[in-house]
Amino acid sequence: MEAERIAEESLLARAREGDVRAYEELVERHQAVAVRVAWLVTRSTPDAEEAAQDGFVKAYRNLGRFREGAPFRPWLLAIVGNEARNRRVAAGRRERLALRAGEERPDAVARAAEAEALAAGEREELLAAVGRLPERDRLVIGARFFLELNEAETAAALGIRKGTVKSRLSRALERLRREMETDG
Amino acid sequence: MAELEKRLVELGGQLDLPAGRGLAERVGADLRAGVERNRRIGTASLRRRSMPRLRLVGLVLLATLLLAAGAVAAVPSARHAVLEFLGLRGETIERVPKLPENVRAKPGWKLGRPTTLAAARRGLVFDPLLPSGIEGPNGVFLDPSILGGALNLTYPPQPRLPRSRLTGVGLLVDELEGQAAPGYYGKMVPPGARIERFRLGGQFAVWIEGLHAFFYKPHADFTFHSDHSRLAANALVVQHGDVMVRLEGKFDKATALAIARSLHG
Repeated sequence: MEAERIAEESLLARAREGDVRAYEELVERHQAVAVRVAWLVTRSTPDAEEAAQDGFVKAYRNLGRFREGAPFRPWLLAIVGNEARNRRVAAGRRERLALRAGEERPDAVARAAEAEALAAGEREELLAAVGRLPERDRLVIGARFFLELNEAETAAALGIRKGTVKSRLSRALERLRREMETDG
Repeated sequence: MAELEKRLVELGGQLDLPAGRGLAERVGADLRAGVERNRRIGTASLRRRSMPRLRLVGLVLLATLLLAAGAVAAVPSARHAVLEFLGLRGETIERVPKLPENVRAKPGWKLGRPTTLAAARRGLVFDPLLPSGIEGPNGVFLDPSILGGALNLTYPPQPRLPRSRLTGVGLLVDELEGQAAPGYYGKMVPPGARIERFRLGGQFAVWIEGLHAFFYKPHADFTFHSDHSRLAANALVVQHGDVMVRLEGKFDKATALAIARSLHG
């Protein structure tokens, strides 16, 4: 973990000096989470990729303002999240949350076909219930659980205060529980 | 972690979410193209350091903006004006013979979407500052197009805050996380307008009497933004920590300073 942090700081220092290759390495480290944060907000893969790309470019241009020693990811996610919010598309065009096609989990073969089908059904149900929640609930649940961002990163990505994340998440989970009870 | 949370984490691992593959190469290409553009305009000496490069690209952006506004022709030397604006010559305020054609006070222009203060707080990366001792606000607007959000508050006319004939507003307060400091804030001011730069609470402040255009750059944004006086009135711009606050109204400087000093989170 410490080695990771030192490596990242070294890449940041080189990027600040104008080393584009070093910055590309930083992008590689964070590209998946950046695009996924943008996707949660835009629900459009092309828009998310564009928002992430522009966010990374803006972050590079602003490295001079980035506080040395601070964690890079929340700062980056704040920029990408903002880019994504500026690109938010009409609800009708939004892609739905979906499970990976042709899911082949290593443990699947070990399970009985009936149990696997049941688990898959439950996942679909849970996913559908999340999909019926208001957007702000979906966003905070998506950031915290689907992307496994911590509170600071969630706050940065969604453009809300850190203190708000906990209360918003608690309300969102409560609504999700009710939604599942209603559905069940 | 409760059962539901565990199920959500497990579900997240199985979602079909984009992975951003190839992004590093595309970002690298964008950045190298930017460096290449810098070389073409003869600024090789600036390209290895991030701040000068940032200023340089800002210079290009601003030059474009000035051209679009038809203002360059009115300035004796566009290059001089741009350097002046960027703080490379130590000044950011540019006097021009006349303001660009499109600079007019337009009620509601770019104020953002109407909202409540509670809702606006959720869309801002900074804590809003509110003046005390005056009635209002009677309008709260959030502009999400500014990185980090911009808050615009309108206050009704009241003693020492006369009504704007254009808008009926007594005071307009604009806030964003950004820097009203040399290099990141510029103004175009026509003859007759009075400008006074000073420090308030140890931070940059400027008092402008009369119609003006201004430019600024939010902290986390690479884009220069342009705006102009909205009430055709006077303005006080102050820096409050990381927040840039612009007060605009048909008020005098003493009133503006009293309002600025009363700002609180």
